[in-house]
Amino acid sequence: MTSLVEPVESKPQSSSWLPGAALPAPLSPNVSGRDEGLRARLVWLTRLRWVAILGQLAVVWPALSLGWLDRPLLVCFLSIVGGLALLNIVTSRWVVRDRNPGVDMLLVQLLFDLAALTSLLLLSGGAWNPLAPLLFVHAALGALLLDGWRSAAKLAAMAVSIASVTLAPLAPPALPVFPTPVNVALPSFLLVALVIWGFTSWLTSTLGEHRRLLLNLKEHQERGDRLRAAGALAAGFSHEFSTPLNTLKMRLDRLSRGVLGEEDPDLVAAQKAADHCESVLRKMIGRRLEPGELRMENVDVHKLVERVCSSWAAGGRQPRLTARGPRHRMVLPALALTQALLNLLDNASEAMLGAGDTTSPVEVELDADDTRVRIAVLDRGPGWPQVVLENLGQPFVTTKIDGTGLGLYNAHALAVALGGRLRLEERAEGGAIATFLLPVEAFAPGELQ
Amino acid sequence: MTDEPIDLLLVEDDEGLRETMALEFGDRGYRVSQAGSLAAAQRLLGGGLQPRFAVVDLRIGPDNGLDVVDAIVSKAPGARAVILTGYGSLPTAVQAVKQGAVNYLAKPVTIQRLERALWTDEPDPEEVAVPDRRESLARHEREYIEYVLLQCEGNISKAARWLGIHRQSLQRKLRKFRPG
Repeated sequence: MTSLVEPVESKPQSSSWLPGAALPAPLSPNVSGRDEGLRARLVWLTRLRWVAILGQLAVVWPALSLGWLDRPLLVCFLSIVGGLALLNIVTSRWVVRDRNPGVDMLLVQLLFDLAALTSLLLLSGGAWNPLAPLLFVHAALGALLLDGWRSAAKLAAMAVSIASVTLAPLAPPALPVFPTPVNVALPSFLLVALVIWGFTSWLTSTLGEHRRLLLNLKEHQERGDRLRAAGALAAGFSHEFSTPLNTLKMRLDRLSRGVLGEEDPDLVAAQKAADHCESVLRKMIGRRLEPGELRMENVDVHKLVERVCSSWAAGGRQPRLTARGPRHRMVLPALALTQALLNLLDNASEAMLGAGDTTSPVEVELDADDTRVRIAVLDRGPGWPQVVLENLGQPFVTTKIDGTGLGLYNAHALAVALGGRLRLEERAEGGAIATFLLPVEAFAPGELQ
Repeated sequence: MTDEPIDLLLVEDDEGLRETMALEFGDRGYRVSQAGSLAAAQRLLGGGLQPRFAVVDLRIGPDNGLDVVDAIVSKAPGARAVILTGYGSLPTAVQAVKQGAVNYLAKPVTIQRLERALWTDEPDPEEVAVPDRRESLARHEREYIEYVLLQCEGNISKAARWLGIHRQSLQRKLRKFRPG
C-alpha cells in the first residue's frame, strides 16, 4: 500500500500562538477516507483480475480435452481473456496517475468483468459448465465493493447474466455428458468454493489494513490537535496570569518608593514572592522575548554564523564550519537567529552525547546563492526521533526528560517568520540534519522604517 | 524641565494594570489618555489625540492590538508605539514591528523598562537618558503656595494660617520664589 502520510517538512501554517488568534488549521494530509477507500478497492480489483485471467488461461486445456470448449471457439475465448488483460493494464496505468477514482469507475469495471465471464461461459457450456458458479463471485464482489444503487445495479446485471447462461439458445451444445460426472463436478465445486473463500479473505485483509492506516492518521491528527490545544492553553494562561502579576509587581514597586520604603520586611517578602511567580511563569512558557531579540539588524550572515560557531563549544566539541557562496547582508533579528543556531548546535551535541559519542564534531554548512541562504547543522547521533519529525512546527514536543520542546519550535517559528523554512532530515550515513533556508529577499533593507 | 505635556496613550483592557500604568506614567510627567478597547482608542485618536507615545496590549479583550497600532500609525504618524504581550510570539513580534510598533515587551514588565522602551530602540540599555519630567517637590510647593495666595487675595497672614505654617516661614519661601 502506498504511504498515506506525506513526510512532514516544515509546513508554514498560520501557527501564531497567541491567545485570541484563531487556532491554526489542523494538519491534514490531502486525503479523505472515502477516496482512499475507493482507490484501495480499485487496486485490489486489478490484482484479482490478474488472478482470474491466469485461472481462465489455466482451464483452457482441461476444457478443450474434456470437450467443454470446441476448438473453433478457442480464438473467441482467448480474445475475451486478452481483452480483460488489456483492460487491466490500462486500469493499472490510470490508477497510478489519477488519485481520485470515482465510484462509477468501479461499477463499470465490474460490469465489464461480469460480461467477460458471461461470454466465456456462453462459449463453454453456459450454466452447465461446472465452473459456472463462479458467477456468484460477482454477486459478492458487487456487494463488497459497491453500495447503494450501484450495488443493486450490479445485482440486476447478475440476474441478466444468469438468465443468459441458463436460457441461451446461442450456447453451443457443449455437453457430451449429462448429468456432469462426479469426477468433474466435485473438483469444480471445490474450486469455486476455494475461489470465493480466497478472494473474500483477501479483500477483507486489504480493507482491514486500509482501515488501520486511517486510524493512525486520525490518531496523528488528534495528537496534533491536543498539542495545539495545550499550546493555546499555555498562551492563554500566560496572558491571563501575567497581566494581574504585572499590576501586582508595579504596585509593590510603588509601595517601595512610597510610604513603606524599600526595607519594609513585609514588602520585601511580597516582592520576592511575586518575582518567584514570574520565574515560574517564564520557565513554564520557556521563552523570554526580550526587545533585543526582535531587533532587526543588517548583518553579514557569514560573519554571524562564524561568530556563533567560534563562541559555541559544548563538552569540548568544536563545530566545523564550511562556508560557500557569496556573502550576503540581510536584515534579520540577529539575536533571535543566534539563539536558534545555538539551540540547534546544543541539540546536535546532546544527540551525540546521548549515543556515547564525545569526539565527533558538529558540522555546520553555510552556503548561499542569489535567492537563498542555507545554514545546516549536522550531527552523527541516532537521528531525529519519529515524534519530533512528525510534529515539527508544534510546541512542547520533546523526547528529552527535562526538555521544554520549544527549541525546535522557536527555530521553526523564526524561519517561517522570515519567509523561509526549517527542514529536518536524516543523514545517509546516520545522524540528523537541521537546515535553515532563508530567502535573501525576505527583508529588503528598505522595508523597515 | 519642559512645560510641554507629552501625550501618552494607554490601550489595555485590564483595569488594574491600566490604572497602575496610568498612575506611574502620570507621576513621571506624561499626560495619559486611557482606552480599554479598540473602539475607545479609535475614538480618542479620531477626536484629535496626537500621542507621542503609546503602550498597547496585544490582546485587548476580543480586539487585536495590531489594529490599534494601525490606527495610531495612520492617525498619529510619528507616535512611538510599544506592544505589551503575555506570551512572546516571534512571528507576531515580527509582524508588529513591520506594522509600525517600535518595540515589543513581554509581561510582567517594570515601569522603568517600559518607559525606556518608549524612548529608545536599544535592547535593554543600562542607562538611557529618559527626560526627567517628575514634578519636583519644590515646584509643587510653589504652585500650591501661589494658589493659596490667590485665594487669600495676597494676604500673607491669611495664607500662612491656611497653610498652617508660621508667617515668617511663608515669607522666606516667597522670597526664594521671587528674588528681589
